[in-house]
Amino acid sequence: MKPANFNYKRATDLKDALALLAEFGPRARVLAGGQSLMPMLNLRLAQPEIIVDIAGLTELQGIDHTSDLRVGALVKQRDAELSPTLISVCPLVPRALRYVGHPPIRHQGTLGGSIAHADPSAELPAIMIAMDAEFVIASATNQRIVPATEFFVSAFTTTLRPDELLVQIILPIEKPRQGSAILEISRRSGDFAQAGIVIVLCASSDGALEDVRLVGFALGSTARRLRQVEATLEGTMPDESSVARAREMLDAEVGATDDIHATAGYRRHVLGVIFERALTAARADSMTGRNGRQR
Amino acid sequence: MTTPRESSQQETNITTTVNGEQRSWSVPVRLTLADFLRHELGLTGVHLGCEHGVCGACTVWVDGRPARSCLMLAPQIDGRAVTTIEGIGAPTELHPMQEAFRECHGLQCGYCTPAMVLTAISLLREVPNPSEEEVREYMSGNICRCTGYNFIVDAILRAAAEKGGLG
Repeated sequence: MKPANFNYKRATDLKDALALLAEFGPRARVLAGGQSLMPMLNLRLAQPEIIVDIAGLTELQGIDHTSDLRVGALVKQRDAELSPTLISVCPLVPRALRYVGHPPIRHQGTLGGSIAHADPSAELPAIMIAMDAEFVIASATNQRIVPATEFFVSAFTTTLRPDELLVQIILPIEKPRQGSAILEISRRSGDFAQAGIVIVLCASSDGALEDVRLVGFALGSTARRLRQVEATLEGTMPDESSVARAREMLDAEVGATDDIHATAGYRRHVLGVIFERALTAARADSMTGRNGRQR
Repeated sequence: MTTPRESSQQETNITTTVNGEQRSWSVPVRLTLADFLRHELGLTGVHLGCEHGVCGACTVWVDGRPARSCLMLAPQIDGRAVTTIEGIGAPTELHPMQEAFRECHGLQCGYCTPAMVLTAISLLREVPNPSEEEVREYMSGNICRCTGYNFIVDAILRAAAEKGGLG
């Protein structure tokens, strides 16, 4: 038997799941798509007493774009990637999902699962921070909304309490003239990123950059905004010298670390390269409208 | 084959359709779907490589979606339908994708092949006429240590071009 012994509870609905989490708290782990938790169980890195299986919770399903844009935490990554709604009004999500694992992994993995797992090299936390998404978090006694910028604390650590469940993701709808890009470096398609960058920006009618949001991931304990680089770019027309200045600032602002996957020096170098490419791609994206229409 | 069990271990009842046949079983809650299919049902076309989701060799379909059976617990398939390579074709009755693999020499040792075939059929259901790049991207989660992948890619492109309608 691969995993260490545990007890298994299948939650029948959201109320039941929250009651189970209230009862067992830190002794329980939530099982959604299982694409991160199951490897940890099989390797016995995680040995919870109780598994709470939430896969059957219909309340956490669906993509709702009636007033704002809300995505249930249990929506499969592959379904979000192929969702016409998200491709049309929040295209950064499908773009980022193409980097998440492999298609069969995305057929099982959920949006909420990847966000709550908070792997430092994961793409979804990075784009959530870049877009200022918000998370609806429920417990048996309370419900709160937490901005993505305040949700991720450190590697595999979030502000979720043991009795709480991430139930819904509130996504901003892409604004006119907004463009975005995500790029990462990994050894093979689907591997964990060694360095990654997300850019969301608007290009004004004369081509100057506005509302620039830059997030680096797979560079430290959590994805984070790179605000000094953002400030360097804000209001400028990108040319060779301004991009070179931004790269210098990027080098200074990113405290990349060594690990078994890559050295800090390698990370800083490739980050500069993908930063330039992502900036070009995001700017081009902002110049063309949804579905490739010229703005 | 019996699996060693601990006396304190929780069991649960599941009712599942495997390769078109519905049955009920009592399973230990921490049994992986892969071990359930191999040890309890004798479906040894489910191959286990890494057992933590990296190699893709244990891929099956759950409700028609590709799934790594090492990353699922047997209790999770209660009320759902599982398809393994045994439900796809037989030696005398190969599935068109299996035929394409044979014609293009898309296998050597065969260890990765059942999962390659299932994943490839999933691809053609989603993208009926993929480019070579799309094939390589979709299949990137399935590791082969023999072929160097080229003949596998050839087989899938051939299945798409010549055999059509794999769904």
